[in-house]
Parts: sequence; C-alpha cells; structure tokens
Amino acid sequence: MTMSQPTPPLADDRLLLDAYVDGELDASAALGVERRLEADPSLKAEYERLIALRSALRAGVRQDRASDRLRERVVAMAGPGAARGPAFHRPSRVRTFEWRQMAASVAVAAIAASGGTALYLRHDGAGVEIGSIVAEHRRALLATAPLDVESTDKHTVKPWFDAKLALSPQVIDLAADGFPLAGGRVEVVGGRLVPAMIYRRRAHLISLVAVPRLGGHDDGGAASSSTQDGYAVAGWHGPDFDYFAVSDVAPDELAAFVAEWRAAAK
Amino acid sequence: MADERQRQQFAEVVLPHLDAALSLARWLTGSLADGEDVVQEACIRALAGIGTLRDGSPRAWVLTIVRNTAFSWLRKNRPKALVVTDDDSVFEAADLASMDRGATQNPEALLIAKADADLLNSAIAALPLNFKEILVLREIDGLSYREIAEVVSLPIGTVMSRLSRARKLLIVTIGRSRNEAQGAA
Repeated sequence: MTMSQPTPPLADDRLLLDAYVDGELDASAALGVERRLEADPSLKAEYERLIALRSALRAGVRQDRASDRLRERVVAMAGPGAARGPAFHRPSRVRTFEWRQMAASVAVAAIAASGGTALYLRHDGAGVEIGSIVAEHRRALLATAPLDVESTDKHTVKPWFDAKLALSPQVIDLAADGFPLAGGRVEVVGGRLVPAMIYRRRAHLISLVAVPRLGGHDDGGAASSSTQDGYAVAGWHGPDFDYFAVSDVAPDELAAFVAEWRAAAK
Repeated sequence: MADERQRQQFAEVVLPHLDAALSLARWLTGSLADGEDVVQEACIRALAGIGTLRDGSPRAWVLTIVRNTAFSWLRKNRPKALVVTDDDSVFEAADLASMDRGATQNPEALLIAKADADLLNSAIAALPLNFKEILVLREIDGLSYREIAEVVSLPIGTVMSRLSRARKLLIVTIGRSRNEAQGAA
C-alpha cells in the first residue's frame, strides 16, 4: 500500500470524464479516456463515483408526470375554437373531467394533429392504422394508471394476457438492456382487443402493441419507423404477431429498443 | 392569433415534452403547483411564438420557453432565489472533500449508488439555480449537451463545467450525510 497522496484529476480531465459518462465523446476521444482510466486510479475512482451518482439518480429521482388536468389544458389550447389560450390562473384542485371525456378530446386532438394524413402500414392487405396506436398510447398516458397490470415480471404479464384475451404474445424483459418491463395493457386497434406490453426507459414509457397475424413468422425484415404527433413509431413482423412500438423517446432510442427486443425474441 | 395549422404544430411539438417541461419548471420554482402554472404560461407563449420554431430540437425549443417563463416567474415571486452563483468557494470545499478518499478502492461508490431518494432530492434542491437547471436538463430530462447549451444560451464549455461541478456537489453532499449518519450512530 503506497502512502503517496493521489494527484487530483485536472479540471479538463473531469470535464472529459463527465462527457464520457454522458456518451458525448466520439470514438477516438472515448478511447483516450478509457486508456487514461486504466492508467490513473484517482481518475478511475472519480469515474466510479460518477457512475454511482448516475445510477442513484436514475433510481431515486423521476421525471415529473404532467397531471391529466394539465395535459388536458394544453390539449384544449391546441383544440379547434381555442382562439386564445385559457386564462393563466392557479388550476383548481378538483378534477372536472372524466377520463372518457378527456380521452375523447385527446383523440380529436390526435386526429387534428395528424392533419388527416393517417399513416398506414399495410401487411397482407390488412391495414393497421398507426394513428390509432399512437392515440391509444397517448390515451394510456392520460389515464390515471397507464397500465392494466403492473408488474416487472414477465411470468405475471404473459398469463394475464392469456386470461384476458386468450392471446399469448412473447413477453420479454429487457431490464438488462435498460428497458425494464413495467406491465401490460389491453388496447383497441382496428376494432380488435390486442395486448400491449409497456416498458420503461428512464421516465418514459414505451408501448409495444402486438396485433395478431396468425401463421405469420418473423421475416427478418428491417423495422419500419416513422414519427407521428411527435411520437416515434416502429413496426415489424414477428412470429404470429405484427408489432408496433410507440414512445416519446428519441427515434434512435426506440430503434435500439426494437433491435434488443427482436434479438431477445429469437 | 394562432391559426389551425399552427395549433396542430403546437400540439405536435409541445405534448410529447410536457413531462420534461413540468420537471424543469417544478425544480426551478421548487413546487409542483408553481411548476404547473409556469408550464401553462409557457404553453401560451409557445403557441403565440410557434412561428419562431426552427429546425433543430423541438424539445430544446420547448424547454427554452419553459426556462424563460420560470425565470420570469422567479423574478416576480421569488426574487431571492435568483441569486445565481459562479462562486468558486462553493466548489473548493467540494474539491477538498472529494479528494480525501482519492485512489483507494471504492466502497464509497457503492454508498453513493445506494443514496436514497429523499437525500438526492434535497441535494438537488440545494444546488445553486444555474447549476441545478443544467443538472435537471441532463439527468432528469435527458438532454444532450448541445440541447442544454441551446436552452440556457451558454457555450457548451460552460454547460460542461457547470454540470461537472453540480455532480461533484451532489457527490460531496451524499458523502457528508453518510458521515453524519455514522457520527450519529
């Protein structure tokens, strides 16, 4: 055990280290930092503290969730006839809207926002309207609880779908990849009840809707991706189901989720 | 007055980032109710100013408006909270405190990782405002450095140094509370 006092990391090293932890460095700069980390124990200790702080923050500090009331007010500002925004005053603590009314108003907003250019992703002639999947995701976010069954355990979620819908989509937990399972929900897509698995990404939710397509198999084709109303949407063919993922995470993050999910489903 | 197309654009741009907006406003004002007021006011401004939306990050555009609205609110309602600091003395103490456990293998990291939510929340709340906003934008709202620089209108270098210092302060605060807890035991 040496008694030498470790030299403190220089200020620039600290900035580089933070940028490294934040994934903001290009490959060559990241490589430089990794080499420094191996050679410099005090820098390495600093790195471990930063990683520890990050995981504590992820676990302990959540993004706030806008209340139904606040969301509804903002939707109302965008709605037809909203020539002026509502007056700026302390909102009342009383919930004046039933969720059904609210869902209806949001559905209207979703249709208005899509400007009538509904996107269709066609499979074998059977169209699935992406807009309705996005609207369902949005409705779920508005509801008091975005989940019908809340569980991080796929062995709870899968039987729940079985019992509720007599459908058994693959339920995969991607906690190790940073997308922990949060639970499940029943959605209505094209007039059918279909299962949706809900995953968390930091403070965001990802809805993964499985639309039955019996006899289909994973064609291995690339997932299609689009955005609608600011939500990222990805769709692909899986075994017996067509899958649609929708979320307010960045499109490349959603693409990473899809890639992990498909890899795990094999 | 916003026309139909502008209101559509407003909904597309603002709704996906409402949680991020509320988080920023809540942390800057210090309370959920005040944060909601600020978000509503910011939305009115965003709708009125939707024509100023340019290519680039819509999220940064929304949060810029929320931040500016929050600062207006603070000026009016909490002028004392607006004392911003770039004072190095806050951080010199932090440097010293974190150095006394330099290179030894790191049980400390484990304790930081296990810091409880109350402690983290109060440590963030205690950060000087101009450090807090950058930490919240990065760690809670998940913005990139470039987006943060846009929101707070500062060079990226300043964003990086404030973020780094904010984290260091949190680490020291957590370490200190642990030592106090041990002292009390």
